[in-house]
Amino acid sequence: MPVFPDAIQSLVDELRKLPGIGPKSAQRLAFHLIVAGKPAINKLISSLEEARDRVGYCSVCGNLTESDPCPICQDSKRDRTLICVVGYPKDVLAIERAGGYRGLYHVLHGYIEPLKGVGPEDLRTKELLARLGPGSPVKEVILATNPDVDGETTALYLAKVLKPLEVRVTRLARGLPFGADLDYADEVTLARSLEGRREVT
Amino acid sequence: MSLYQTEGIVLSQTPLGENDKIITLLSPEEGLVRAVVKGARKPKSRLSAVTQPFTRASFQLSRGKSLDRVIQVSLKTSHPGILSDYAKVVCASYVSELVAELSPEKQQNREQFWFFSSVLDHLEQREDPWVVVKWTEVGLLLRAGLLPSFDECALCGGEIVQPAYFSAEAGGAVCGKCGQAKDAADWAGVQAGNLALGEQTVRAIPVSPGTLKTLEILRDSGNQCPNLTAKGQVRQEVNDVLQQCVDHALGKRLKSSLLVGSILVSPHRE
Repeated sequence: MPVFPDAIQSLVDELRKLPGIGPKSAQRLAFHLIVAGKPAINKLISSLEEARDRVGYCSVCGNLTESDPCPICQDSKRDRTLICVVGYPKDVLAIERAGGYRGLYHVLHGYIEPLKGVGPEDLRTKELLARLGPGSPVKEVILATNPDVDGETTALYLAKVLKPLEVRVTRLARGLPFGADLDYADEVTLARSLEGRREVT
Repeated sequence: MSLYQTEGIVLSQTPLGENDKIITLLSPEEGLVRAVVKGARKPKSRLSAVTQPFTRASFQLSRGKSLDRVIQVSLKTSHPGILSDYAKVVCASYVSELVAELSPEKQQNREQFWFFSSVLDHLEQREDPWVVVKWTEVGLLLRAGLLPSFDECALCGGEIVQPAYFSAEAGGAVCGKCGQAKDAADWAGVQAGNLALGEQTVRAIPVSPGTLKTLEILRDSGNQCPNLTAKGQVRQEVNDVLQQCVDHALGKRLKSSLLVGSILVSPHRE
């Protein structure tokens, strides 16, 4: 059976470790890079090194940033009475993209997943409680975890530990996606939409 | 494409690629089934919400080489009472992991399915999930033929005399006579969590009569979860004994056992 030269095989093996990359995709990417030549490879190497050296986590909210604290935490125009709790840095991007939210964030870096042995102490929950300590300006914590079992479990845990603190705890609404057809909605989503219905004013 | 219809309970889910996920189902006709849910992670997916863990539904699946594929789902219950309580979600995750370990793949197991279905119903209804989790552990080990003996000495076969202790490695409860037959150093070892059996040293836990009685009630309650609760020493000992039984039966510790252990230490909402 024909085999790749060691250098290419090693490149394929490294690319395969990336999320969403299977053996075929890894081969395709490796051959593309080899064919693209030195300038393209050097540019990729310098981008990777730059990302490695310059990007870190914000010591306040845990988001990915080049400066510590991150631009959002430093922004004086942001509403400091609001904290939106999300699972991953990509969720901050999703909410920022949607617009309309001008408060601060807190990134947990995961969800409580009993089946993977991930408990509350493995997330940035202590850091969240520290931000809500005495003298904190925060009046509302928005739990923007995923609307699935792991996200719900994490939200239930956070609601429990935040209850004794004098802070309003809210959860993102769950229900029908905008633009969907009612008769195509599944039973669970429809039941949740009815539970969370709002008065039309 | 060979289609088949089965009732099932979703035990777990794992992401697959960008848009799909794999679920593990417990079915009465097929035992454990692993199936792909195409597009389940897209926001408008009709299958996403009805294939979340602890959901009981009627599934239409197509058979595949290694994994089946979910075609249609008709929801029976999503157990909202479990999903709205942190402790119950953690307990449901633990019993789901345990039943997945103790159920064979693609093998009819109606009794296991109906037992597990009633476990989730009880978990949803009961305020303190402790007794439901302990009844599930005993029930699943009993059905698998892996439950040690609680009412007679695993070494001499005689009546249990205090001070008694329990060792899954020794085969169950061990009477005080067998314990006392050892010299004082051995008994000190038992107190420290070890028991010498001939040349072997096994893990052992001192157990009170209340603990052994509770374990017997759990074992003899069949398909009906008993109405009992335990506090303090008995609760801790029952937790320790069953943890040892599960670890010994599976030859490993379940990932969710640490989290569930921290929740079941004291009665719920106390």
